[in-house]
Amino acid sequence: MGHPHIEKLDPKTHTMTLSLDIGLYPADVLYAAAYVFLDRAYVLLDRAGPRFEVHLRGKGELTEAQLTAMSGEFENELLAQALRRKVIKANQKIIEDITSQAIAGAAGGTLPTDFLAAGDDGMDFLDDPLGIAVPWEDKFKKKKDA
Amino acid sequence: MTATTLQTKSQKHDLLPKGKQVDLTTISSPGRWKPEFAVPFNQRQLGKKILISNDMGDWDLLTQDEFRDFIEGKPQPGEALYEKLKARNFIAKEINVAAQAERWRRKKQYLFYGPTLHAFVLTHRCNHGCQYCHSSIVGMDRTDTDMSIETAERAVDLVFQTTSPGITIEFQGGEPTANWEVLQHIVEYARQKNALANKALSFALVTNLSLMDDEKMEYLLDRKVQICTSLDGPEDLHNKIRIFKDGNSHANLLHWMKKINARYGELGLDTNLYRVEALPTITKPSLHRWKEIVDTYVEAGCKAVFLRKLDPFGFAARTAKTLGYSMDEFLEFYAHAVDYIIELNRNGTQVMERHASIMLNKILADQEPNYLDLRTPGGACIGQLGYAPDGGVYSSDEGRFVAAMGDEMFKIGTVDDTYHQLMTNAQTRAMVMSGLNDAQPDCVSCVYKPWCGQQVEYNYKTQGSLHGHMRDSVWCKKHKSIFDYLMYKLENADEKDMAMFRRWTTNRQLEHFLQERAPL
Ligand code: SF4
Repeated sequence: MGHPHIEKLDPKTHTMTLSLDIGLYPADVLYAAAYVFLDRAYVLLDRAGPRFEVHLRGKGELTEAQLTAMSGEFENELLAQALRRKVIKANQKIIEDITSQAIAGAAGGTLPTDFLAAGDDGMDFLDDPLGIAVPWEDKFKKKKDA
Repeated sequence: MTATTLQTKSQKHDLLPKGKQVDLTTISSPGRWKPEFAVPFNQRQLGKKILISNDMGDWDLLTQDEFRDFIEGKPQPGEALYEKLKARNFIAKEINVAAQAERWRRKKQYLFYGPTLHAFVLTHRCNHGCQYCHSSIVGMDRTDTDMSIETAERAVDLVFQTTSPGITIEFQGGEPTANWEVLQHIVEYARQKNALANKALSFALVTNLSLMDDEKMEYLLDRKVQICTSLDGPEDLHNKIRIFKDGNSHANLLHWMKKINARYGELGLDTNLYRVEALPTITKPSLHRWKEIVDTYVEAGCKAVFLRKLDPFGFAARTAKTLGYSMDEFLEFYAHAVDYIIELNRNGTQVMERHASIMLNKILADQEPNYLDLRTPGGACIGQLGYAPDGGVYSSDEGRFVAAMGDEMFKIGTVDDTYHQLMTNAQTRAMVMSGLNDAQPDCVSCVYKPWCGQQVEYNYKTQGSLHGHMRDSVWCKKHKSIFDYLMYKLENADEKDMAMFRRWTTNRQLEHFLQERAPL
């Protein structure tokens, strides 16, 4: 199955459960997509065998149509996050160079040591809820490990 | 391109022609492509021509045949097409790397220093009840929402730690003149600090002018504080949106604009350059009144109009029904208004639209005006900072608006933090990376990438993440559509129109507003 499946949808409790193949999207893509819904829903991520489960409970009332639309939005968000991850990987060098220059330029030419060591501080996705800094952290981790 | 090639079926499309990405396979079969011939470029079909651009900001409009020859690597030295492409840095083997690196460095100056714009919210108090204003605004008796002298001094201390050689301190509110004592204190304190720091320091005041009096005006003139205000258009429209119980907001505003402009003249300043800057916010009732809005600005002696769309921050949700509109409606309004501005210029009235001017500056003059919303990475944290009355430091003014709606996402610290901490923390880093066009799926293949930019606060507010997704972003739609509109205008411009567009790119420094530099 190429897209999330609606396992459960209940307008009465304004809840919905989506499931998707674990192999399809990396976990950080799932976290980043889920994060986008935090202002509208309580989100719980879980695993059920070979599938990820996403439990969404609307913060306000949600009709069946709204819940269905939300599942479509979730699908699109997963795709957008996955594509962004690819773009970041492809452009990693230029992104790193510009970001380093911008921060170093603003901060006064020197970066704090913890900036460069950021990938080695045992952070997991909860420390980077936006899922944005992951490739960046990866890069510095690699450098450090090399 | 002749006008006929631009004709489309509907009147709406004539007004705002839209480009589209070219499917290269319809032009040439992939086996014939010679990617090594060209530097990396992006493309977009505009009418019958194809716009190409590269990352350095060079561009050209090619015919379909020229474009086919280009991607097939056919042009030969000495041929007109080859020489044109060479001059515009599209031929890989002809690139002068050192010259292009220098050019990149010139245009990316802002990567080499920190925030230039520092927005100080002096108070949340205001005597107006503007319908689109932000929810943190309180009544005039709530002096507890004023910035204190101590907080102001700490904030100024932070400002002076920026690595930027230039600093603009902008006074905002609420109505910042309601906290006049602190405003004056900041001006004096910053001037004192600058005697040592020796930066290009300037001040700007964003005011509704309702609390202005002669004494305040003379102080502001004496201290060279630039004055900016909000003028939403003709009297009935302005007063309907910008509600002022104590009088006629529009009449008062025009009275002070006139008086201050006259004083600039008396001080020997060029009044074409030195004027009260006014900005309209476009609301639903404005949409069909583009002509009257432009006329109001021309009659008030303004040389520029900045047609600003209602932002997604603040009261917008509450007043969406009465004030809100779609991006398509805004773009139609925009095209009508700018068409009219162009017409006025053709008839001898010199006035320009600011979005157009900023974009043309990049496209025609190869300049980087450092407009924070149209640069990459965007201006959040590293281009600007916002300071709340309680000492909170935000990524920008917009970041503070998000906070006023109960979400502290863009608070990067307080005035008690060190500047270094603010610039290097994880939030700042995430905002810088998210505000990069090179990290955006649509932007990386967009022909407007060299001139466009991101505002992470806008992405967050409208799409839930700092980076958003440009495919269905109204931010992207607005900029792409305005770029399309301008490109069509450039393609169809005669000599006079080109002279006008070039005039819009002329950046005359407002030297008078720079504080005297201390002799070293
Ligand atoms: S925001 Fe839109 S118009 Fe701007 S570069 Fe990105 S895709 Fe192009």
